[in-house]
Amino acid sequence: MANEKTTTLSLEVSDVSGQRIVRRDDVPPEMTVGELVHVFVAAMRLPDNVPYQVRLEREARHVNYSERVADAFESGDRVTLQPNIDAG
Amino acid sequence: MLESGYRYVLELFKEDGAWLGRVSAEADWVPALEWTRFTALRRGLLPREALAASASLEPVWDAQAGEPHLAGFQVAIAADGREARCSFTTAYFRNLAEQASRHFVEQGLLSEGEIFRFAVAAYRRFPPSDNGGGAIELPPPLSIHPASLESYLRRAAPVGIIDAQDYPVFLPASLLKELEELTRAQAGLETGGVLIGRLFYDPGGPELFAEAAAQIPLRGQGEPTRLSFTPERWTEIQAALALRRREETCLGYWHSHPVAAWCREKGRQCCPERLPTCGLAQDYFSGEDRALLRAVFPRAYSLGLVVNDQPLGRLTFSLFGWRRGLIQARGYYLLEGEDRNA
Repeated sequence: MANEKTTTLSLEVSDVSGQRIVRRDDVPPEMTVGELVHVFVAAMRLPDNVPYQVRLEREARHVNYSERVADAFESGDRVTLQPNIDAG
Repeated sequence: MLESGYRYVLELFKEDGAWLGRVSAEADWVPALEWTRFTALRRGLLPREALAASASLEPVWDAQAGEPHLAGFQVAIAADGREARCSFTTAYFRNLAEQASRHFVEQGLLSEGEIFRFAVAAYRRFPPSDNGGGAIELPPPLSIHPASLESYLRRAAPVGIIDAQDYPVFLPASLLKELEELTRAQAGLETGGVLIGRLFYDPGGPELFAEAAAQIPLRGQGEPTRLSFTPERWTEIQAALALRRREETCLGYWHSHPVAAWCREKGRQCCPERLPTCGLAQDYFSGEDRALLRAVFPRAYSLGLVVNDQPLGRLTFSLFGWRRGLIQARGYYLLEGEDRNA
């Protein structure tokens, strides 16, 4: 868990292909995971009409949108944005 | 990230030149950016860091009408002290124009299916936009292996139209055979997976090319007109790719179109004469298919392969990829003989 004294966290976010990776060093710990997804979807210019789940690689689990960034992540964590999307 | 000092506007006209109206053109610039990055890498103009290079977007004014009327735009990227540029025409805005035309159809100013024209204009804005915020894009862990393109071409046969703008893609016959068997096993339902393989660089060209070595199947069953790539399936695919430990790259995805089942469901009879002109039987990449390629595989080397399970027992393949920022049907090389990476 993140130290409550930490002012911001550094997180690295990848798409599922592993071919696009973005890092932010100024993620506010009080932000929710849902808000974090919104920020990274915009930063990576991913389509915002697609639902994404966040997978935390260190714990090999999907993180809930309502969790606080400070509770879910450690600074330096790597997460993957996994879209729920259909081929037609 | 991408910096732009202009806002773009679409103007729509009826075929006879009558002005319909003006709409904001919030284009998706990522495909243009990725095409510029990949072209720089392909031609040996920039190092691998080009895949994370920041970029700027500049309008190219129409030679006769001048500013603010566009002939196209340029994307410029820089890495390692060097710069590369790619030009795009206003054809890049065609999809946006089609979407905008619906607004005029709803207003009764344009009829459904009526031909219209469009023009693009750009106006300076202050300060320039950069949607990246505080994010830093990092170069991907992309393995590019040295190889001779000529040696690949010697044991391959071209399939479809080979456009010089497209980078060469080699599909082993053994892989297509596997996809054919998976498609036939799921007859009437969509099936698919992720294409993995290797990128190669031939400094003699210079040219980049790809060989799709294998596929990771999507577990579970699709539906007649839909195949879901859920977070759980992505986790399985990522785990399978990691287990292979072969420095492979996700090249794109494949899925089947059970066209025969679609026709049966609609009570349509098919005959050999109608198949060549059928819009669904060959080279059909739906709006959902395009959205998936854009969302998951926006890199300009990415591919979408469709297995067309046609009526009358025929089965064919259609390959799609990025060309100047647009998704297009493209040709490939069928690689005979043993897959060296199997």
